[in-house]
Amino acid sequence: MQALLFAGCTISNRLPFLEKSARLVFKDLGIEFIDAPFTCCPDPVGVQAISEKTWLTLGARNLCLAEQEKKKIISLCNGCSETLIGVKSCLDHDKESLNEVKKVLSKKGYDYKGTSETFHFIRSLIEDVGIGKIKEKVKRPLKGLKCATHTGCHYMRPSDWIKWDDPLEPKYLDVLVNAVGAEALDYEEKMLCCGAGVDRTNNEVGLEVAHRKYKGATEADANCLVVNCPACFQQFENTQRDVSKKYEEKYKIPVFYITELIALAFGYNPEDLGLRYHRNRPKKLLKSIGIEDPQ
Amino acid sequence: MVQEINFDFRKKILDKHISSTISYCYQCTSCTSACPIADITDGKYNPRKLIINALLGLTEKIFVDKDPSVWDCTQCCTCDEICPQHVKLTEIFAFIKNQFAERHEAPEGFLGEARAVYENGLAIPMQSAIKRRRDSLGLSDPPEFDYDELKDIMKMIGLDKLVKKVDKEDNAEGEN
Repeated sequence: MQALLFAGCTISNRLPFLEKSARLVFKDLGIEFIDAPFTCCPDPVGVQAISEKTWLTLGARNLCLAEQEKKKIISLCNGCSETLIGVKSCLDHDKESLNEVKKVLSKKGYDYKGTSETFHFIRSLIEDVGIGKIKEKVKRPLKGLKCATHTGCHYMRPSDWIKWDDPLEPKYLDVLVNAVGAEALDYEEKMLCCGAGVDRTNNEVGLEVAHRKYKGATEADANCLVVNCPACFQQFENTQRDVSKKYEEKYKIPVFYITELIALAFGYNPEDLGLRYHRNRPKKLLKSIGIEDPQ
Repeated sequence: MVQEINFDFRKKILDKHISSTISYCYQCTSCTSACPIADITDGKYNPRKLIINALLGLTEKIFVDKDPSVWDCTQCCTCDEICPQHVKLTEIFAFIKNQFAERHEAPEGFLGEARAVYENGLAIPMQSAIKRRRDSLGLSDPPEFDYDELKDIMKMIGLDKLVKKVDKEDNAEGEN
């Protein structure tokens, strides 16, 4: 099976190092892919709030392109996967919107059929690859990493659309973390949102959301945060300094994308993955578990 | 204070395919109990109230007083999962946000992103520093895309009018 890899604009145009680790890991695990022929999902938070019609139509155009390729989409981002899965679900159930969207797209020569399939990459790792194969490839178990895992909301909600993992107690991110020899922790506020949504209009509340997250993770003795969404990654990278200042507490917790951890466990070095581009540098933490770039 | 009912808004929200679940709400407060923002703001943000305001067509509360403000929703969709009546709250809130945009009153934090999509074909355009970073990681350029086609589609839908910068005073006049 060959898939369409869709990195999305946050990863490809802001956090390319996340894409690097994902590409390495997928290749090692035998996931065959080419790049998806589109770039903007569009965002289920920002764009949908302004114009649901734009969200549906641009999303459906992407799905038309995927239908033409007859390949499954694997998305690296919670927002992109929510959009592509959500748009299909809305159009499956809402004839009126479907007709409107089809009418617009037909003017550009598209014929939306509704046959596409989109997986968040976690689902691909679990279902297409399997946890056994991932464990087999681990050369260097990440013993000593105590991970406050955070799936982010749009990975599995709304469940009406996404139908993957548990909408209120997702488990597969933890399964992956444990598979590479690190430890997934339970902590207070594990299910709390990253706060990026409310932060757009209400910074004070956004920071309090992040604060609760860091406090919960720290109290559980976590030494890193692990995510599977670039928006959550950015939110946690970017707000630790502001939260520390505002609450007079000190947070400098390294944040990892799950494919970075898998790549490290597969034997790649921090340098191969561009971990130097992280704001909260993980160098010291990784050194403490015996992972360093060769001199 | 007497609140006027906006029957036109009520009709719109009840007619809309997905939002029509709003009529099943029996105000049990499950959504607000599960909402992280209601918790943090001590109930100032309250999804249950937003739903009753929308159901009754109290548009002054929704759009003018913003009590509560739909823009305080962090869009975590927890309420959608919790609701015993399967009311699709986040969808209803998206409808309300779209109405703000139609009134040219959507906050810049959201509007700016839609404008970026309209002007560039994607929310986050490439920067030269990031391009260098991609090169250093051995990553090729992201796929090309047909911006003109995207722009035509967005114009057909009318996104150009929604993201246009509107003079506030002109707007206030238009509303009377």
